[in-house]
Amino acid sequence: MTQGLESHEAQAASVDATPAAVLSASVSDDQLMARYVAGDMRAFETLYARHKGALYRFFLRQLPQAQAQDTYQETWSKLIASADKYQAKGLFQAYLFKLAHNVLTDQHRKNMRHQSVEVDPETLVDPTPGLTEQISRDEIRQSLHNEIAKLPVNQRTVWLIKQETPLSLADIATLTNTTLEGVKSRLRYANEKLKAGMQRYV
Amino acid sequence: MSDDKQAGQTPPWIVDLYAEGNEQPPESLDAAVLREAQASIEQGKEINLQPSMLRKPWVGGLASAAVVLLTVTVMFVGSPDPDSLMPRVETLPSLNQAPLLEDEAAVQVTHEPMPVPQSQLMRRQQMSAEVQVEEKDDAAGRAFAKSSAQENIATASVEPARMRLASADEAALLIKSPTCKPDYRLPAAAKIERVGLVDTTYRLDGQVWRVACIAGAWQLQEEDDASSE
Repeated sequence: MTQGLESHEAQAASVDATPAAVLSASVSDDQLMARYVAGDMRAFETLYARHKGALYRFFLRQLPQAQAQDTYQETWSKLIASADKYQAKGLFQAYLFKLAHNVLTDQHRKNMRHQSVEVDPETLVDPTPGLTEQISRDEIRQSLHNEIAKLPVNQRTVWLIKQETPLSLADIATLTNTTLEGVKSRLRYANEKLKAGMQRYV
Repeated sequence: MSDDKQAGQTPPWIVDLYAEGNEQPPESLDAAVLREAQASIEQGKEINLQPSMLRKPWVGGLASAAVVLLTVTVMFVGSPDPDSLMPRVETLPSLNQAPLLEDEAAVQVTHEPMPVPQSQLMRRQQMSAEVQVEEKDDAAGRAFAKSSAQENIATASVEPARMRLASADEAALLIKSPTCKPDYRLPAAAKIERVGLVDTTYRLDGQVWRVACIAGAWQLQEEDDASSE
């Protein structure tokens, strides 16, 4: 969780080196949302810079790139449209990923109706087993992405939110419309599958 | 037992490996989201201004005079000539404050048929002049592109704009062209009306827009419903 927050602060600080940006790194997400609703575009830019990567990867790991980009944009659209209704409770990222989860669910339903593949097959790489020392770090990471793509949707969603955000398991349960025990179970199975799938690289 | 233990620990090396990915959205996406956020602010300013004044006639003569003055200013700035109704071409602030590339300065187009604030009048007038020049090129470009498209439909060797479909019956929000960069991303709520080789129309909030890549720059024009195919 600390690592995730540091990552967000570092990202926000990297947006701009001016004093305004340095100040914005200490401004909370709730404060930035309030400023945006009041008409401060720079507040939205800071908020966007903080969370765009995590949100983008959340979709990219679960959909073909084209759909990932469309659903990513749609999520931000929904946030913008509902900005004046946002209630500041220190859970901005939970709110954002709640919107994302709903958009993702809708997209999965569309994909099932149209029988589209969930992940672009061109992204799947099958490195030769047993040659770990000759395989690059990038290829190993691609293998991890492949294993993530193979996870059942519910397990994959929960696992990705856990990796990309500092949200608690209780928060994740709320935004995915499941119970705390359900989230724990999904995470446990996801971790077991990923460890098994990546065993050859240990 | 802690929640994490019950959930099963993700090995730290897998956590680190995953974190190294760090993919970021493309510039076209950043631009589209920021564009929408900016438009929402400006729409909100207009909504907040008029109703609040109208609901409070008791504020006084000074407030009433201010409303009249503002309304006159808005009417003057937003005079319904064709140029003011054209979406303005503008540059959007880059997140890292780097200067925009020349192509990027031409491609960022917003949907702003509403009058603009006084402070932006000078820039709008400058952009209006640029749009007039582009309109002339556009007519010529359209004729050229259309004739070229008809001659090359089979091979599509002249293909200023091309729509990429996300699925069999659902058009994507992204318009790609080999000569216009970055890709032009439609607002998320837009509905694709027509897909063509040289241009594409879409509907947003009851208005039909035509997008085309002409002379290396995205062109966006309003269309009447009667003229859209």
